[in-house]
Amino acid sequence: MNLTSLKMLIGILAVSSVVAAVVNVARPTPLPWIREPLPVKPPVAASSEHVASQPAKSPADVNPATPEPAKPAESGVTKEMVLSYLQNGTAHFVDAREDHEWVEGHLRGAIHIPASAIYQNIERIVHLVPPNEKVIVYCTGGQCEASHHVAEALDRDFHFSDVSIYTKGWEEIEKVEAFKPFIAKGEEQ
Amino acid sequence: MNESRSLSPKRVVGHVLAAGVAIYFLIAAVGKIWEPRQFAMDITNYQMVPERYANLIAIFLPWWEVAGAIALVWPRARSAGFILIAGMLIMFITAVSYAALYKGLHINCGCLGKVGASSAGWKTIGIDSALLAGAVLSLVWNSQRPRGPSGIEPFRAAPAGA
Repeated sequence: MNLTSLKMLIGILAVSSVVAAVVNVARPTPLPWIREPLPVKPPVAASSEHVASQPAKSPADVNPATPEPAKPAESGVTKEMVLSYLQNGTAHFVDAREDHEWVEGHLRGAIHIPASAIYQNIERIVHLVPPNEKVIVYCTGGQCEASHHVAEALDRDFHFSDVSIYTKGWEEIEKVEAFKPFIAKGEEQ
Repeated sequence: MNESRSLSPKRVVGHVLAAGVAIYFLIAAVGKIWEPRQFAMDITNYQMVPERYANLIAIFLPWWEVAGAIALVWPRARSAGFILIAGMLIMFITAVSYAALYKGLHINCGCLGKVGASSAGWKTIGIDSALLAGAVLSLVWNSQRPRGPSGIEPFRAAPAGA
């Protein structure tokens, strides 16, 4: 590498960096220069994590008819809560899994926002769900990170105030008989 | 114009390789520029840089890809373009190796942004390695001095005053 190439490299980097900065500033919603980490999440039950800044509503708040309301301290999203929300239509479900998993099966009425293309598909929820309504995100279950990514994006970038994660996700939905009427297959959105 | 220079098969292949690598980088950059938030999230998922700086990378890196792609096919800036492209490819290969292979993270590679989502893994490393090889060959073959039909480098008159 000679001096000319080095000078050229520095010039190219400088010009492209200026262009990048100008383009970002000119965006309708510029990306903040520094990505502030979300506040530390409060401790929750093992079955779920609440990602929004507001505390999760207990099922009793949403549906007084829920047979076993969870205590506020145990505000994790359990299968009983999910079933209650499904039966009463009191929460919106977001499926964060990839296309092939969605086609194989998903919760009826869920909104599909794969974690690999959140912003590409975000219109599916932002034009449909008011940001103050309850949203529950699920993915495969167990160790899957997809629901965390989608929930974080909804919370951070689109200001949904009541986003929860159903951590046990599709693994549990598939196993529990009570979920069967709520399962749909194919590409239906 | 030196005919042997334009007809050299290696030189032609070198140009084709440079164009191929450049086109790939341009396509990759467009997706990231279009959706920087997704790219910032993809960067965060690698768990290699502090989350605070993910946005900065998401803002600047795609434009460095554009600049590198243009420079790689611009004869005057080819070497600089190669350094930029090769540096980014080595960085990508290192990142994917660390996150997907060493740490075992199941993450989107973020390679093509909006255009195509794929998991980080061996396939990504293979593609990046092929691009790196293409960039190296394009530089080597485009930098070789043309030779005459006998294989001897053609005579060049010394510049005036030399």
